[in-house]
Amino acid sequence: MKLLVCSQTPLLRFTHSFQGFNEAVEASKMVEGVDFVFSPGGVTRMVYPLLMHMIDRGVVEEAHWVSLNPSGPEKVIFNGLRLHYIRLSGEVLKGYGVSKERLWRLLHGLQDEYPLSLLDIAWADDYAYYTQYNRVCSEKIMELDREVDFDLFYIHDFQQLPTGSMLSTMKPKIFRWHIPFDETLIPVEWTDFLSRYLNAYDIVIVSCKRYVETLLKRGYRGSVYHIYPYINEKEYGVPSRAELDAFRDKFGLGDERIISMVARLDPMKGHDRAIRAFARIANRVGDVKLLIVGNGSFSSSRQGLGLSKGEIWRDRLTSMVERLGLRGRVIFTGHVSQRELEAAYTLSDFTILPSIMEGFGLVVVESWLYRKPAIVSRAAGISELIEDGVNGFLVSPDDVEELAGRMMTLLADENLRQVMGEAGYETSKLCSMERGFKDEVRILESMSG
Amino acid sequence: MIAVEIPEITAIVFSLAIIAAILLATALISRLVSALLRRLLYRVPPLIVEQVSRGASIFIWLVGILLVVNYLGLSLDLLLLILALAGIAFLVAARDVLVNVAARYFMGSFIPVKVGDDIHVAGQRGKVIEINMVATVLWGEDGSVITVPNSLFLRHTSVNVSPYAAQRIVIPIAVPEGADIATVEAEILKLCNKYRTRLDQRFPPMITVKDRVQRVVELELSLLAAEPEKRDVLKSELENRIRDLMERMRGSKG
Repeated sequence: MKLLVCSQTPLLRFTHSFQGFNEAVEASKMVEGVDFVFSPGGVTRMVYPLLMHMIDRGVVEEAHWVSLNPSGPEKVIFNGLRLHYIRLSGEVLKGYGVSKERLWRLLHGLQDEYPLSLLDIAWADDYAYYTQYNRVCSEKIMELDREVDFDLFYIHDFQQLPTGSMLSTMKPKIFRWHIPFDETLIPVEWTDFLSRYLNAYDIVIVSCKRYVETLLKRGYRGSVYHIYPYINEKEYGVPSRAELDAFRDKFGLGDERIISMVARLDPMKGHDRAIRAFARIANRVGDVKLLIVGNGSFSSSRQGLGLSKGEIWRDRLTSMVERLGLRGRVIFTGHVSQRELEAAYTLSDFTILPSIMEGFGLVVVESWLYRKPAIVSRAAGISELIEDGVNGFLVSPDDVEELAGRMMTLLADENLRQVMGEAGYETSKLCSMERGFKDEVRILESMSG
Repeated sequence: MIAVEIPEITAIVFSLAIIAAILLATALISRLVSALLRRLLYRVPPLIVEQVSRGASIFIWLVGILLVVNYLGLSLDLLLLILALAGIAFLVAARDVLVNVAARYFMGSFIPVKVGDDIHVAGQRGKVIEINMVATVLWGEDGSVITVPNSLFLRHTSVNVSPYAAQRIVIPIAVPEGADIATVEAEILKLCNKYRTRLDQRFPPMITVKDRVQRVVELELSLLAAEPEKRDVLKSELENRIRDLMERMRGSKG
């Protein structure tokens, strides 16, 4: 099978600019961490291993990946993958970023005092740039298709939704929707507009069962599947004693108990709720710290869209910590390496994910891999895998008291933490890479003839 | 033995050379016109192009033969009469096809029907799955395939029962050669946004690539007018604005 993947987020982000450089770059010979880093986020974390797996098993003979990378090289060859980067002019990139951000907020239920509807966004001039970005991608894909003759187009996430309707080919197209597709956030009035894009795809894959129902209610007529997002459990090792000590030293952790929240710095993740809930228990329990792990996304990075929402959010959270007198009790680690992430989970007593809205929440699965229970927002897609009180706790995203109460319960009962951690570990198998691969390959092969 | 004088031989050879030259020129013109037609009619189905090309070729050869006959000093009257009768016979024989072909050009603009619509026409009902040069193909509710000659749309009342058919505005747009499609699309969308209050706000404008032959790209802009009775005025204004925009973009490329 010859496969074309398209996502906004590029697999690799380079540490230096390649603007004006039009030759293909062999990134396999470069050094990770020095010349490039893997983009954070669930999309790249899932798609890259999936492609490698499919190549290794002979399911895919050639894979191309088109994505946005304003400062990246035009073409990159990396471990057998051919990465094609889209560059946009400053004006188009800015307009695209504004429109995409509005869509993202809308679909996550984050609205300010003047809420916009999807139709308001689509009638704004910035949306013309969002369309333009998708057209540039589709033109690139069609150009590649004339050379390569793909069997299948696999388009990822809401930023690329219009791409399928722009591909002038009857070849099969699959769309993977990674963020929430929540019925409460998508009114019936948007059905006609959304279905014009969605029905360009033969198959749509979503992250949990409840999004399947919404998709069908909102006019999608093709086949819908749900595949739980997955991670490669073999990539999560056990840190050594020295690594744990180094992690403690780096972030000023003593022998206190640790509650971790692993999430990129974004208002949607509900860090503010976590801090406020932590403030309620911090006076009662002296030997506990809240560890906030993660930094901004591709969109908020300088190599990405340059949106500064990650930094703004961090400033607000830091002020909140000061105001609540939690300096030294709430630790922001920023970006951590894989080994440090493993140390964070190992040292944690449990984790929390109080998101206002969350497509899925793979960090909960990571937590389970270390047999650590999680307190999870009901608004997260992964909540449908949580049996309240068995493999974790479910909380309302707006109820800080409830979150604080559940934190107290887990802090007070070590046995409960262990039992829940074991149950969580068993649940994590539903999100194993092997299971995800099988489901993905079955669907992709069913369309590739 | 008849003696043939050299000047007579020269005259015969000269006449034959003239005839050969006329025939050669006819053949060349025929091939040239044929090639030209194929180039000009690149959007038309190949079968039709083939027939038009053959018709033109026959016409050119007939003119060539007439020139030869005229050169030889023979009477043209009988030949012209035969040709006229043949032409009338052809028109009579092909009149149904020609009416259908002519009706095809009214579909979409003067007769608001497009692929995907649910329609009633001449006692038939179905979803339009194809509009070709001769007929419109419907997919009946019982799964049957109904072929309706295009000419019936001129002779009978047709009813389009698709939602929003009364509001629909479809504008074909030829992208200036060398212009970037993505930029053209963005500029057209921004232009349409200025007419937001006149358009059905549930359906923001959408552009699709309809055709892409060699370096020519044809787009199609789809909109819904807020008020069906103002659809034509709005369409006309938008067409003019888009034409101006394309001219500017063509100018900026040059």
